[in-house]
Amino acid sequence: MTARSFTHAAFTHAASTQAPGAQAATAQICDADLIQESRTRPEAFALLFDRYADMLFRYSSRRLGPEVAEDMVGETFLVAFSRRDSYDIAYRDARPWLFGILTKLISRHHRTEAARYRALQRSPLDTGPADCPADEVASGVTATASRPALAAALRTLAAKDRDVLLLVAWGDLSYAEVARALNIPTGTVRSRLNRARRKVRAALGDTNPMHQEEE
Amino acid sequence: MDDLAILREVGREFEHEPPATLVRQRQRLLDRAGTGRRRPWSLMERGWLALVLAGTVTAALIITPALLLASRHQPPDRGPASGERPTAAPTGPLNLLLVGHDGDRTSGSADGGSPGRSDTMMLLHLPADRRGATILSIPRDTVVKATGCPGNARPSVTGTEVIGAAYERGGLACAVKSVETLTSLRVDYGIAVGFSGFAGMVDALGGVHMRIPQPVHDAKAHLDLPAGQHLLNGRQALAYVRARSSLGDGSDLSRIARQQQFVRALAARARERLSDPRRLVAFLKAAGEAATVLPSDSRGELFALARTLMKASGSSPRIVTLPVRIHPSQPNRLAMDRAAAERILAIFRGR
Repeated sequence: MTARSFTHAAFTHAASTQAPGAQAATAQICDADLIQESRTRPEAFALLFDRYADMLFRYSSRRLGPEVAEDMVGETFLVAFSRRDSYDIAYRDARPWLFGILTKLISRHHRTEAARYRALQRSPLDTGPADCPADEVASGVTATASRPALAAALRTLAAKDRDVLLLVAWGDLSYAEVARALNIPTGTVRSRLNRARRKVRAALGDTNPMHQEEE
Repeated sequence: MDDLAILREVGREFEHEPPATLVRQRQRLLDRAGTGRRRPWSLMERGWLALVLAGTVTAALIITPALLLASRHQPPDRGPASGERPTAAPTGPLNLLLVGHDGDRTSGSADGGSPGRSDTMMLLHLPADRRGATILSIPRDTVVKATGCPGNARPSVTGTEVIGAAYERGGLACAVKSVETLTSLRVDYGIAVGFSGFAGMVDALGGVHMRIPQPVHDAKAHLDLPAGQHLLNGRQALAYVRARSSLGDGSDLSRIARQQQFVRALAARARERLSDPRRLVAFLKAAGEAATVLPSDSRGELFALARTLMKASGSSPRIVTLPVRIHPSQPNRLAMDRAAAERILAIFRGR
């Protein structure tokens, strides 16, 4: 009983401090609770949007560019909303679920994605102010220099391998989370990631054998 | 440099910041959330929706006769003499708790055994100027700290109970106290109306006219009606609006739609019939028997209040449901969403 009422008190406390803009307080309520509540109060789903829309936008903008990305975010949440009943609330973090939906939607725009990598491959290094080279001194130099090669590699990767690679590198998902997002076994995540990384390394000209069988 | 690190670094170069226009996508989601649902309701969803919405509609079923009762009533021994000075109507902002229950019409009193189970609870707020009431429907499965109630203070094992249980446990006084505990509001009056008494009110109106879109054969409700226009008596009307399994798509949405249709039919019938003095007397008798009030000597005040309400003829009441969420530790129950509720409860604390 004590444990129960404590849970309850903690929960209502989190809810009561959930004023607009109180990001920290909102974070105390896990995604699964929000989704569960949205089954009763659909508008609660908007809180999930507030939590992850920016993140999903940034991710899609890398792959498809800013114009399409906005629509991708909207579509992702509409699909997620319509499937909220089947969400397994045992998973408290909804990011893999949302990334899974987004990945599927992105796959419909494979031409846009290919065109984007092609453009990024050719375009001059115009990101960041040129008169401030100090910022790029550390790792940035290598990365920026690698950009054309990387864009080319991403374009030629198999779609399934690219999905896994980018969910790990750009989506910050763990192997288990990628597995859940794409509904594939963790072993498959590993093998696809290894294959993708081999190609990326080949494109970058890295033949270091120590990287061959990582994970 | 590690290939993944390079990939992350380049990824940041590819990235764009979310534009302000992203809010349009949020609105798109809210539009969908608010209206067009294109898929069938899941069972669980129906269940929760019922919990939250049924209260509102049943509340409307109660408030109609409760207000009609109060507005038209003249104490019988006083007769129709209009020159007599009536009990003064209470002034200032008021909160009234209305309870709909399934007890029979005689057991509503405190000493009549079990008062029945409360089906509906709603709180009615009247501002001091009496213009524009607010009705707050309280889902009966909302968990509340169990309060000690006069007469029947059975302490619950967990220290909490669903608010709907308070009426059954200790009658109207206990229901009022529980609502005060939940909302931290002061409740000035309580009115309880039984469903059987409600059926009596329908009979006193000579039944209500309703168009029934498809034949109804509900053995459980003893209801057997062909499709078409019907004059339903009290028992039939009650069975029709409360029936669930044999009607429509079996969802609570269709039940709620029927209840709303019925409320309109009842209101139309009341306007039409209550100009007949004999009907009015019969109606008031049925309503009077059906209703219990708290404090028990406040009947006169409530009638006076209702008369002023009729005169004020303000806008139709705003009906809201207490914001709730699924209870974190009792998943078949609800917990008040304190943050969202506070905005509504502020109305009830106002002028």
